[in-house]
Amino acid sequence: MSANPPPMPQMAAEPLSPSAFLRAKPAWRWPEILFWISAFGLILLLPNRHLLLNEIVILGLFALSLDLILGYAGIVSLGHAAFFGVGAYAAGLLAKHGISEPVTGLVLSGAAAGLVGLLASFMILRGTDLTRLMVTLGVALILHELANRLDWITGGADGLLGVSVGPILGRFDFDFAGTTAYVYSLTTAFLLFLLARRIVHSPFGLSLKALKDNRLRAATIGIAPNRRIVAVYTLAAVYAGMAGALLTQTTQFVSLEVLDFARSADALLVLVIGGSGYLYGGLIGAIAFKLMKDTLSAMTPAYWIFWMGFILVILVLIGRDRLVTELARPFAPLLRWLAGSRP
Amino acid sequence: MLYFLIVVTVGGTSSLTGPLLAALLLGVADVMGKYLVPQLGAFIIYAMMLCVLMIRPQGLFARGR
Repeated sequence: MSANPPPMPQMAAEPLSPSAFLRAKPAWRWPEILFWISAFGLILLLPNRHLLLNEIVILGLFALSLDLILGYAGIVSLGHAAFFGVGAYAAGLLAKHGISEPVTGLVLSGAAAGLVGLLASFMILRGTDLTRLMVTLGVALILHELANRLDWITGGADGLLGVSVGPILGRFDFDFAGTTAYVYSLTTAFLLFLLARRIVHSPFGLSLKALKDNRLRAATIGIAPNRRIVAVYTLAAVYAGMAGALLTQTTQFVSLEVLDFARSADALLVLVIGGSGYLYGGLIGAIAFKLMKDTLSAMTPAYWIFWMGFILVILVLIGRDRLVTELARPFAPLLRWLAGSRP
Repeated sequence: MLYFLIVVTVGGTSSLTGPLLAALLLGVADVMGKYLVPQLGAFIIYAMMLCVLMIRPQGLFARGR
């Protein structure tokens, strides 16, 4: 999982002053703009695949939130679904008991997940990576068990029924083809992405990277590790909770599966596919993961899990960076031309 | 599948006897919990793991460093 961000060719020049460095990093590059334009363009281009696209966006947002703690602060987590599930159940309960306006529900669910994340973050401050892995896993398992047992609130193993979500901002109703759902999820994800991008390029984001590299050294240059980890863990929990809320609101159903161990593992797999530590890993990984799952399960309904595992093993053995360079080699002249044409 | 991971983290990865003792401790506690308060079920082992890791992040029987 030690994925390095792709090298940035224009960074190799003479050292910049600190303020110039901070200002140069957040500049938008053309692949990023292209990525988001095509994401919004799919609203018109693929009108009958909006349900799948909606799932991809939600998984991407969830993986992005894991990337915030894994790729930037270096906290390994096997229980990130805990916050996804809290957000999903919070959104479901809010919609069931009166507050059916999605945006309000989204914000409140994010806040609920953030609160749980804040409490859980104090448990991951000490110990090794193995300890952190097990503590995060334990929190997710306990929440899963709670949701299972408190069936008069959550519906238990039957899932939460009777979730009825109103129109967004009182105006846009959810439709059967999932168009509203996709536009809503994509807009939310885009806004949250902008915020995450702003945060990771700020001095705070840089200090997180310092913490990831060497916590002791970061502490000696005056970065308070614990407070920053609490802050970023809470932020990631808010993001995961909002992803969960999006899932509830667009499917109008919550089941125990939102807190499943497999969901936490899926998010890690997505980051393995897409790479961590540059924000797009979660989004690109989610696209690859869902498309792979979709095509493989259509091709071989019985054995698609085998092929998933097989492809993942190959991917890790060869290494994503090597695979990408090999695949990109035929297009190298084009890329160079595009890079050269930048102002 | 998860139980062996729980045992190893609770016992500590720096010795062989640590996980052995942790396995005995957790196994007895788990069965006792299931027998005495069946409605708690799987909570006991998870809660025990979290409590131990709160107090001793390196595991119960880890050597001091």
